[in-house]
Amino acid sequence: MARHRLPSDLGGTRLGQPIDRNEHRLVGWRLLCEAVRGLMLRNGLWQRDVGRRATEELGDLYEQLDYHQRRVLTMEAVLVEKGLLDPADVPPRPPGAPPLKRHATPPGEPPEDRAGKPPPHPAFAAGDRVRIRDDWPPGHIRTPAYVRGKPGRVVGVHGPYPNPETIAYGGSGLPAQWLYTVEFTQASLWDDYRGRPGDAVLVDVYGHWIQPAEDAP
Amino acid sequence: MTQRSEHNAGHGHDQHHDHHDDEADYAARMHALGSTLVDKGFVAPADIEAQIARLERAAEPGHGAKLVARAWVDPAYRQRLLTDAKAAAAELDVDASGMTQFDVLENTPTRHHVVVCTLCSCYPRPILGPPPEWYKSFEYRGRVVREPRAVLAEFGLELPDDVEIVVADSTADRRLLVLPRRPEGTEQMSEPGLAALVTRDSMIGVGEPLSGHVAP
Repeated sequence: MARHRLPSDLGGTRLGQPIDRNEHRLVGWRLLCEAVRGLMLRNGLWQRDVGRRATEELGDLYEQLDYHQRRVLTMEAVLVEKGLLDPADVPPRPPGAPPLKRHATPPGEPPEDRAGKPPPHPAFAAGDRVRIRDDWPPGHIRTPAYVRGKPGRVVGVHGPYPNPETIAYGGSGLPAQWLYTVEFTQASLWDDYRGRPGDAVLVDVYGHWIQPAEDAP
Repeated sequence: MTQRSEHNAGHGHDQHHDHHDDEADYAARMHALGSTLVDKGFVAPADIEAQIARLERAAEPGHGAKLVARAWVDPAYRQRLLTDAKAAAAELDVDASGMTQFDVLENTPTRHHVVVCTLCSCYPRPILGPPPEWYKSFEYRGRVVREPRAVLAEFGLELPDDVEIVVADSTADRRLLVLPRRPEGTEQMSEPGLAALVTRDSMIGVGEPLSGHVAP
């Protein structure tokens, strides 16, 4: 099976590459971009996971553009998808950008999306040893690549949340999934980790990505 | 191979040779999009102006500093902040309702937290304002979950060997704030004085609060 990794899924990359820590104050069109996105969010014209998914669909262009450039292209695509803008309202797309679509199209098998109650009880409790599924489906996935297949320990149970994998394509996110915080030791994530044994990473993971694992450390 | 090689990863727009043309192109695109949305009646110009003003005000991380300073002086409040951060924020007239869930991670003498969003740019905006550009950079997002000590050292934060570093990756609906440790020598300081020591970076976890010592 092909291992899909989203262009946005960056955890564990860019080792040693310096971070530009200059404080760039938002001005001009970038500030306008943030403002319009905030208003759309408030008016219900924008759902975070729809926007993230449309950004991920930029593919190779994702890493060639900066944050606000990606966001402008994403807003155009989402507004056309929702039927709020006509493709003719939008300037020609830059080379490499996916064509505008009038409907969101999930890749492969559409994820389950139906009205229904979430499981009434969480499947896991704090302290449980678990393993993240080693699956690599296409689509909008919020389980980072660097924890898939890895063992960890549940440290938080947060209640049912709508599933971003279906919200991303205009679905309801139902049935909701229980959300957990899973703690991974750095050593279990990276073979070459140098640091203290207690160094760890906390990741929020939806329940359908988690399996019990008595053998996890 | 589960991890994408670091070596095939570009530096983003910095390597783009048409950077200035791009900047003008995207500025024009954004202004055109804003005008179209106004023309179609989806957003009002006054709302855009108000939202820009809000964003500029929110750039001050004062809300977070208020929560932290109160937690330093009031142990019962600290406990409430750690168990129900939204309600604890509301006690101080800080509106955290825009976040689905809001949680606070407490630093201790042996455990230091640092927050990232490796998948996009999740950040407690109602508390800290818009995230700094570096928080959204490919380098910070990529590196801090794998070489946190090297990243923190670049920010000037060298933690002792007996402190464990816990990196929190905001992948879902929770927004996270770090409760840094109160600096030593601040026992006599007022709550507003303490709040002035609390930096944005200390609440992301890439820095410590300012020192309470006054230069002689």
